[in-house]
Amino acid sequence: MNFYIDESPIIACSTGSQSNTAIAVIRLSGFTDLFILQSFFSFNLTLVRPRFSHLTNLQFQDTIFDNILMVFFPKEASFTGENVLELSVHGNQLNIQNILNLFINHADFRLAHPGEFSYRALKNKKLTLSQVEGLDLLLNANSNLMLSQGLDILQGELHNQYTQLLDSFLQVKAAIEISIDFSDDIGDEISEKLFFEKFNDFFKRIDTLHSRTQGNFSSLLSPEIVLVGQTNAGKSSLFNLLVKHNRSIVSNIPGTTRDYISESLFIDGTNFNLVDTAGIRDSVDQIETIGINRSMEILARSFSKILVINPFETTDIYLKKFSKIHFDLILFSHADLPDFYNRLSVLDLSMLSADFLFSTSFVSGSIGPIDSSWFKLGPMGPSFSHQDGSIGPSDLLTSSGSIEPLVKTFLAEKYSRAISKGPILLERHRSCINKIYSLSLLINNNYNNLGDVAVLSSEINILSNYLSDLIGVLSPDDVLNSIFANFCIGK
Amino acid sequence: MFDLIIIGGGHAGCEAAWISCQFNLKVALITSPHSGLASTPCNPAIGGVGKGQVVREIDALGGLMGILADRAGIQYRTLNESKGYAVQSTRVQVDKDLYTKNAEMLLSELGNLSIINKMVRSIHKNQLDFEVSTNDGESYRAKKIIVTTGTFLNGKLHTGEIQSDGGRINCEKSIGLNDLFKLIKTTPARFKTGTPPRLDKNTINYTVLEPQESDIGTRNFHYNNHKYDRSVTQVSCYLTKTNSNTLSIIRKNKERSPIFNGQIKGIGPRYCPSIEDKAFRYLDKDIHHVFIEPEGLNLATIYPNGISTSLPKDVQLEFIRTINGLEKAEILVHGYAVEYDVVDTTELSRTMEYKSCVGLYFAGQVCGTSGYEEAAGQGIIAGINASLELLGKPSLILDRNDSYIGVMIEDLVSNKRDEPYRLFTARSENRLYVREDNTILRMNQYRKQLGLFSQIDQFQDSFIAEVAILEKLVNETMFYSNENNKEYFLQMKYGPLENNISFKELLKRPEVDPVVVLTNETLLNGCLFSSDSIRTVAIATKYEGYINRATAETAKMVKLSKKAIHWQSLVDSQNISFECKLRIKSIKPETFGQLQRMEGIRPATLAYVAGNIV
Repeated sequence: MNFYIDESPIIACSTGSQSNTAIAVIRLSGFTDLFILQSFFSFNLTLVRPRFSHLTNLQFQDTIFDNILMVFFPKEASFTGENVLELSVHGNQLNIQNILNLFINHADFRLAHPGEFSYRALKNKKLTLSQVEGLDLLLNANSNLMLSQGLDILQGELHNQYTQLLDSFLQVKAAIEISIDFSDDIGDEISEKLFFEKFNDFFKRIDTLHSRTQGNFSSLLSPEIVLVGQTNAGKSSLFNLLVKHNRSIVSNIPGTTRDYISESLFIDGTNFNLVDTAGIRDSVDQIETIGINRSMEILARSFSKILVINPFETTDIYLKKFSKIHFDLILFSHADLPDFYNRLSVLDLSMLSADFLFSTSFVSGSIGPIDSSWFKLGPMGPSFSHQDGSIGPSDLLTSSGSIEPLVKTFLAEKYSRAISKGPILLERHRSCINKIYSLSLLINNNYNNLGDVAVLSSEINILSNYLSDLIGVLSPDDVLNSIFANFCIGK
Repeated sequence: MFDLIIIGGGHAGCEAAWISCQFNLKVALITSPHSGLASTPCNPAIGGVGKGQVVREIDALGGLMGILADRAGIQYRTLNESKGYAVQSTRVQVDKDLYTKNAEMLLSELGNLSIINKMVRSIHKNQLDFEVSTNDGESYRAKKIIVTTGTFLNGKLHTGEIQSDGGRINCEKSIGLNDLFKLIKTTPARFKTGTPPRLDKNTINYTVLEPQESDIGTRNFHYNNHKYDRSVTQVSCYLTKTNSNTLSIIRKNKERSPIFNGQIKGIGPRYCPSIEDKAFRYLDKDIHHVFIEPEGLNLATIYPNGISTSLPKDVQLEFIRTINGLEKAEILVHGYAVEYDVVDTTELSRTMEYKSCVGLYFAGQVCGTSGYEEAAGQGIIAGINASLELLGKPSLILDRNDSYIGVMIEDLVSNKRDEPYRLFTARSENRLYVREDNTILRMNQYRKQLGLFSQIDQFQDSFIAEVAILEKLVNETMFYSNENNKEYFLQMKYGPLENNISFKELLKRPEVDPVVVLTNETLLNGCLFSSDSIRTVAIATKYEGYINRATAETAKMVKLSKKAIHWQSLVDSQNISFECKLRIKSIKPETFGQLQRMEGIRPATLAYVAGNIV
């Protein structure tokens, strides 16, 4: 972290240093004055217009290095909050290296550390902490979701939500301070009303943000679909059907798939990771036991859980293992066998819970609705909300057809439903928001038991600590400014 | 040759003179010949939210303000009574004549104080002492100087188009600060404050106004006075309101308002706006409170609080007469605004000494604060520190975590102000603890540091001992969950008694008023405790949990912010930007918290400093 305190000017090639390209952009930041760089340019720097592009030779002591375009951003309006110069040079790696060395050896620039431009933007209050995190997400995204969330936090909807949350909070804090410091001017009744009004607005905002942190969102960044079930129930058959080639070893010998096997599955622009776990069973084989434990771990953090049951080879004792897990799909295999429903009726299925149940036949590759009058079900899960706003069972529930398209449609729908709520993916943001929400909820529900305004104000102060963790530092002056800007104070 | 000369006889100056005389020093108070001591030229009230705490803090240090306020108090109020004990504050309307007369009497009784009624012409700093010359050609020497000149430095008065020189109405101005002292820095912008017209009390129709009576349950300020007996007759204040006619007259005369036509360039306080400010900043609001406050028992003047103005005289009368109850009001003294020079307080240390001029102290409104209490709070600290310095003892620095005076002084020395500074409770991070009821517990450690052993110290010691006994009682007494007690709890509305609980747990229950319960229970059990110690213990018990919770939440920050830093080594450091170094050099922060609260300190600098002191 040493560079965090060094403020010397920095330089870096911002377009990568791996291969030769037509154009590369070199960025310089933190120099005190543009004119001290005159010796490097043929263009007269006194004629430079901020944010305009100028064609110039890059030169030093009679040697011309390159013919380039330069743009100058003065510190008042630059990314880092410092003077910034962007040079578009020819993107030969050797050329880039020479130019970097030129500024490092003949001016007091040093090579920037990774992320240092953003760090300086943060330091100079050009970006908030949360925005820098968004930038990081944006630059390192490996899915469309990460990309769009990165943009969102950087300057999009989420950034607006955060700043509005802060504004709203400042008004809450102002309202409480008014009721203590200025109640003579404003009157008790009005100041209490004011507080409720402002707090309700704030609570609505944090409630909305909080709902966007609910659920297992790390699973959305690289969503995993996990297949579990008894050894040889047909998981590998399903796996192969979905990825359309034989990857899992399919055999009749129980325990063939020992550890888990995974394969990416691209559905509607999203990259899923399909995981075939080891058959979960009581094993004496040590290696397999390890595999089974891992299956349970993978299951816990997965995006979608599918249980495959062969009713002819399972027992209530086995099914009980899954009594605490909610599945998206439970597939009963071997539906083509004549005793299928008789077998089902023997099993105690009431301990299982799932959104959907299907009967399947891997022999024919088909899937169909299951006649649930044959057995007692555990909690049956949510109905889809349809596009017209009505709520009811999905059409899928009663569909029948080929396994592959049906399962894929189901997964795509579940995914688009999950991200339509605009989930907040960054763990730090989620934990800050949860802290703010819990305390706000407490204040909201216990307002009348909090004793008095003084205690309330103390709780609001604690809330402001949490909020500054998320967004940035609040000072008493911010609150006073908010008071004076919005309310007529003073006798 | 004096030990100490104080220039200016307002609230800061009187407080400084009073306390320094207790150190047996030879002190002179030079004050302008035509104005009384400790006068209240604006609102004749002492105390208020946050400010009541300051008055009690001054009293607990051995100061003057509480004594004077009690002697002149004509209407008492407990503010925020319904909002919880922690934010309650006392405000006393005072008879301004009595206030000044008592100040003059008490100060003149001090054998080691010389009161000199002259205008100061110049101050020179010699090698070892200061020389103060007055207009009559005399000069006085002193080892230390405290400047408490209020609004008198280059004071300029405005009433409509009429401008005149002066510190306030009918008072000669002092020479500008920069002439007085070539080396003193003032803030680039001058400050402005204003006052409303005074009305003839016999021309007001009180029958249509809402009276506010004096509160008999509000405790007097001074520790040694009877708690609730008043020194003089109590009177009522009255409440009325402006209306759309009032405001439209003001809006019509915008061009004649010195604030809006550019005549006044000084910056006024946002928390105490003139009626012109209110009219033009809140265009949709025509109704503003006006408090009708008598200035004294035998004075003819009424202070209409809320309509401070510098509009021309004819406009003042016109808008006043639109207000309910004031239709026939006559103005005895017109409202005016005053602009004045302000010393740059970031040049001061927390002892109120000007850092680059040893022995020179500043206190009061000249430091850019508003309010008599703020002035007095600085005055007593400057007086104490000048005295301690003369006696070769360590300085007295008040912590912002246990006093409002500490909050104020740290705020003042840490940041340049861009408007007059007033204390709000919002400025304290520790509002639940910095209360009126526990002032003695908070201030006793500071009072002890003065090394003066007088009656007040004995009083505080015995009070603290009493509180300790009562705390022990509250901690150790149990209510057992038996049938008798259960029924008693029901009968007293103390809530259920399922299990044995301690007395302390009972006091913490949200449904009970801890002061009432503790008073009743101690009385019923034949324990005689003073109502003061009962209040202190009951209220402390009630807030204990919340204070602990807040403390835990900010513990890390507080710990870090209290760490001492060596600003000189920061200025020499390679790792801090030039700009930050300049600010550090000018403000000379002593703790990390102070550095944190300074404007323009970069996070990188904070990270570096934090990394190096932990």
